[in-house]
Amino acid sequence: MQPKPGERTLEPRHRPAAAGGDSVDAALAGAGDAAAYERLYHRHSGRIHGLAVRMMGMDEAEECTQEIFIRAWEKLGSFRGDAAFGTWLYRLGVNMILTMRAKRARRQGKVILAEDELLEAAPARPVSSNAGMDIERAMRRIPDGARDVFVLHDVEGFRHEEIASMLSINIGTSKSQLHRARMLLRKQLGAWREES
Amino acid sequence: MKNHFMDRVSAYVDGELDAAGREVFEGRMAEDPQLRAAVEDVQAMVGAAAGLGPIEPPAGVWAAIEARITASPGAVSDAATVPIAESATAPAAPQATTRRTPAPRPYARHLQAIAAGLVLMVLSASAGWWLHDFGTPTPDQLASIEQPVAEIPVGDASVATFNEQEDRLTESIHHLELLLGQYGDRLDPDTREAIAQNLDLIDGAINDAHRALEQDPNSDYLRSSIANSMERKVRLLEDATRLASREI
Repeated sequence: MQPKPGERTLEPRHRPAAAGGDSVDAALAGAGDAAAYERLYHRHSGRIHGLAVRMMGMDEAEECTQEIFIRAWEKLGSFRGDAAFGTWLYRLGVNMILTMRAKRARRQGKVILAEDELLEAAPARPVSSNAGMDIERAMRRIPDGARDVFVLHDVEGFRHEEIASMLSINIGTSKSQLHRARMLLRKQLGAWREES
Repeated sequence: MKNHFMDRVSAYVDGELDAAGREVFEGRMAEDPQLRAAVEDVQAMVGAAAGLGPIEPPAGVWAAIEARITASPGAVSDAATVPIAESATAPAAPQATTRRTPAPRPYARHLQAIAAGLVLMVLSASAGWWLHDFGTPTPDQLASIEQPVAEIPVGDASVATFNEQEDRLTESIHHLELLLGQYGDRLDPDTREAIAQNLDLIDGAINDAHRALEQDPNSDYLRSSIANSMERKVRLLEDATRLASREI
């Protein structure tokens, strides 16, 4: 689909350049070559770890990244190159994060807070001179569903159609969650700005 | 009262409003400073979010992953296909081979396995023609036909199913041939020669079956035969690629 005039082009960002090398290394890794897999890891770990940090939180991101790459290694035998390796890995990562987070919620008996409670529950932080850092911090304080869509759309650049497919939601839900996330983040950033 | 324009801020910023909706929204924005501020904030936020890059994991993460994948059989043992070395009478090759813990390179065993594979392919490919050309075989003849390396899920050999399957297999073969073309020179010449002979035999069987299908376009049997041969070619190419990867 062509972007409308004035619309941002939502091509996924941060994709490693070596897509051609990916297919060769994926085939070699699928045959048990750990060196080829290490090359794939170094090309994609930043993006996967970024996803884990933003969707799971810093405390569990390391373990989460590790588990995603272990699972991908185990499943490489079934990777047939129908999609780019990075796309395949990213989708696997999103699925695993959702599963891990659901388990964590069950384990902790997590109570979903109302939006205002969620924003007020965490201690306030002063606004910094770095807008990116402020957004990273503010993202940790919004509900999972809204944050997921914000990360996939605004940070990673996926389209709503792709996000809906990845998260098993409909496109309308993806759009409304994105708007909700932006409004919550705006509220949080505004509160910090006032405090400072 | 709820400001419905506020609900459309994201749609406006993302360019999802049609021309008329955009015009109305911009008209409202001109007279509503709160709405304008919301748009500006969201635009700034979207710009900042787009600039958030990847986050590199700590150095120890790869070491932990490596320790786990080299300690377990990994992808090779989980692969759906059976490597030649395991399908033949020769001892099984090591399952997980890494660059840091290279496996022995038993060329003789590979060749023996490939030779066994060659016999299986010739027998199973020729068996199809034998059945087609000479009718029902005797029990003795049946007993002399080796089974294919693995059962192939041909299923309903309707034309649509066959065409879909043939496209998929053609794509896989193309992909694997590219890989083998890139890495095949890492195999020793005898192994390369054995693989090439196998591939020639399979290609011959596929071409013969295609010619026969032109004469008998309603033959489900011939379509199944083509699909089986192509599947065999995919497996041989996969195994050859695996062998080549172990020589790196």
